[in-house]
Amino acid sequence: MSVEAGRQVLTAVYGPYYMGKRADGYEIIAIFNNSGLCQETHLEDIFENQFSKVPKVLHDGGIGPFEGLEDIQKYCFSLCQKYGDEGVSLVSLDSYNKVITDAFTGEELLNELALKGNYIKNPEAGKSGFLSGIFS
Amino acid sequence: MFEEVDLSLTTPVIRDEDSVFPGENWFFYWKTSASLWRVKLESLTGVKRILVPINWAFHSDTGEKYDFAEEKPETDLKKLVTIADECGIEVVFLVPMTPCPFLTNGGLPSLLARTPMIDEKGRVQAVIDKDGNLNKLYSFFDPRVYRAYGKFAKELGRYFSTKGISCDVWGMECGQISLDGFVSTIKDYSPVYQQGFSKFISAKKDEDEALVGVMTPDQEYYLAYEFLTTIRSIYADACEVGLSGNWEGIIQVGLLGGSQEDFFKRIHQRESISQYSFDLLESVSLEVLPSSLLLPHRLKKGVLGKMLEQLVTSSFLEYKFAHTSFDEDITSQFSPKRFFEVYDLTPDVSPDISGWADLGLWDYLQKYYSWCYSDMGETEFKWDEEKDSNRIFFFHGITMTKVLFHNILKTFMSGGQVILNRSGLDIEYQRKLEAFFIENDLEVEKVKLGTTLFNASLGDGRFLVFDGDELVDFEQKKAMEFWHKVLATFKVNHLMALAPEGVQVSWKVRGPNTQELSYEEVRRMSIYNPSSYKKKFKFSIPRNFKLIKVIDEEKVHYVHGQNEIEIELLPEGSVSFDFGVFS
Repeated sequence: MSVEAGRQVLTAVYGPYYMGKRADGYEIIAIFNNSGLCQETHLEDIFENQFSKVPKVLHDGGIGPFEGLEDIQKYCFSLCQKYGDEGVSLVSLDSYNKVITDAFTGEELLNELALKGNYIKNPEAGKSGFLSGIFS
Repeated sequence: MFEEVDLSLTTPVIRDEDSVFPGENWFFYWKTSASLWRVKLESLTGVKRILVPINWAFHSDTGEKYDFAEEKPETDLKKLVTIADECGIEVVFLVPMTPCPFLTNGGLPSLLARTPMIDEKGRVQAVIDKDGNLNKLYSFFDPRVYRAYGKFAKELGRYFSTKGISCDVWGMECGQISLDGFVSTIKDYSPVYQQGFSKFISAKKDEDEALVGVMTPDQEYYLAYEFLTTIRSIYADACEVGLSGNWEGIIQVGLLGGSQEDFFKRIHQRESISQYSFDLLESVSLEVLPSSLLLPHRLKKGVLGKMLEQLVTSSFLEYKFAHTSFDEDITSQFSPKRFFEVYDLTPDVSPDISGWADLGLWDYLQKYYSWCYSDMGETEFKWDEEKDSNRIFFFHGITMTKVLFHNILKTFMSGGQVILNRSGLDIEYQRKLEAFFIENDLEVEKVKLGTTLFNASLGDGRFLVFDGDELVDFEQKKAMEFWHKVLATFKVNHLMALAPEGVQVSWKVRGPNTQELSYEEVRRMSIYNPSSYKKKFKFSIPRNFKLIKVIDEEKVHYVHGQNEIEIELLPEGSVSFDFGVFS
């Protein structure tokens, strides 16, 4: 399902998580909405609540590891609900790189990411999330 | 940090001047007809110098054949120099040695733009330019690129020499300001980088048996740094050799709005003036030339524009490029005020070793000394008695070399002030240092302040040694207290103004003129509010500071008492105070 461009969407770019040279699960490489990259404190809180452990990768816009894509989906959806975004679009690193290589403007990049991502709608959108009023 | 969104209802009109003069006296010669160069340059008032980046791709599509005034008239750099000279303007050429984010394809000729740059997480690298376009960057680790670059530097040098162009030429290393300081755009993890690095490792293993087998992460880290340095030097050497008659050195240019954090805001057309203001000041403290080339013109109309004008165009450019040093023209020109010169860990030191950030020094200096310091990073230290006699120098023992040790002692003996973190200091230098104190009959005081401090004095000189390892676990407040107590023992003649979050304070200095002879120097304190909120604060004026004048008032209200100034700054507000300072 694709998303209409211009809406307040949380976009997450995920890729493999490496332990040394071996891929071992996934990590979110960039997660952002209209305000830019999500702050690491927000990412950390939800990760710890959801998985009851401390993330090994943590910085603004990045967190991990996750065992599978389903965990990433659940995590991003929780974050999307907290921010009150209209939905979350999950994009693999390969898709992101393809889109950025082909796009010519920032606007085009966003539109294409919205079209190429795996979109999950947040039915609660519009109702206030605890961060939506302040940080969106 | 607060963000500003452009809410203007009118469509901005792109002026030709914005493309040709994108900011801070930069001049893009390829953006207008050569027949208009004279008109454009004549339209400048009060500009002594323009910065002209050489656009590699504009002179060659392929990297093989070059056009310098042969086909396109806009490639005639000799003509540009002649016109500028007739207009009384000096031209300083900047030759890119790294991908240039403000140029299409990062400035590479189109046929060479083949391997996209990739960051360490595997993302293709691009930046948003001032018009919202995505400028993709291509790897400078591609052997085709550095071979072609050698030819470009040679052709450019030959052209300069044949045409008798005598202007200064600087190698330009582009980058952005991040939490780690200046990050060069040459950094790359693309497949061509990986291939090159693998070959480099193989060659190193052939040379050094200790590297054979599985390497430790530290060994790999050192080799990655060595590889980066090697490739960087290929570009620098090509420029220096090709343009030897004009070569002045390398300048780092920090592009505001060029970081990854900025990228994800800017694709949504969000700009953070507060962040850019902070990065601008950080850039100046890093001795990196800040540049607004990636930012849209509309952002430069308010307080950010004022900061760029006051701190970059009218101050930092002179400081970096003027032939006469500030010392020779001390009464007319303000230069950045510096109390501290901080030399940090060199990149070949393992990232696990604690730097000044881990010891809480940056937080302290930023809060209490409002950017009055130079973050010298990995720069080699050289003592200049004329310039540096009042500064305090910070060094890490782990980076000690024979030359540095000699220079530190020379600094101290000449009346300089030194603070040395002895953590990691080689036993050989510890013994030499002890021998030095004994041989010179210096009394060494021991003070306990969370860690043991050793202090020696000789005339005006101070030498303070402490163990940073004992400071690492300090909480932020305790680290602040430590530095506050330590630096209070040095004679730093400063007006401390603790500005509220989001407000930036910057200091500049000049010598006194004939009407100001009762002062040792004149300091200009500029206060800027790039936030979206009204900010209010006050500060005390020390007895040896006398307010001379208040200038550049914009959206500000202040009350000046006998010993105190109280300020209320509206969003985008700013003001400057000139103080006469005496002992």
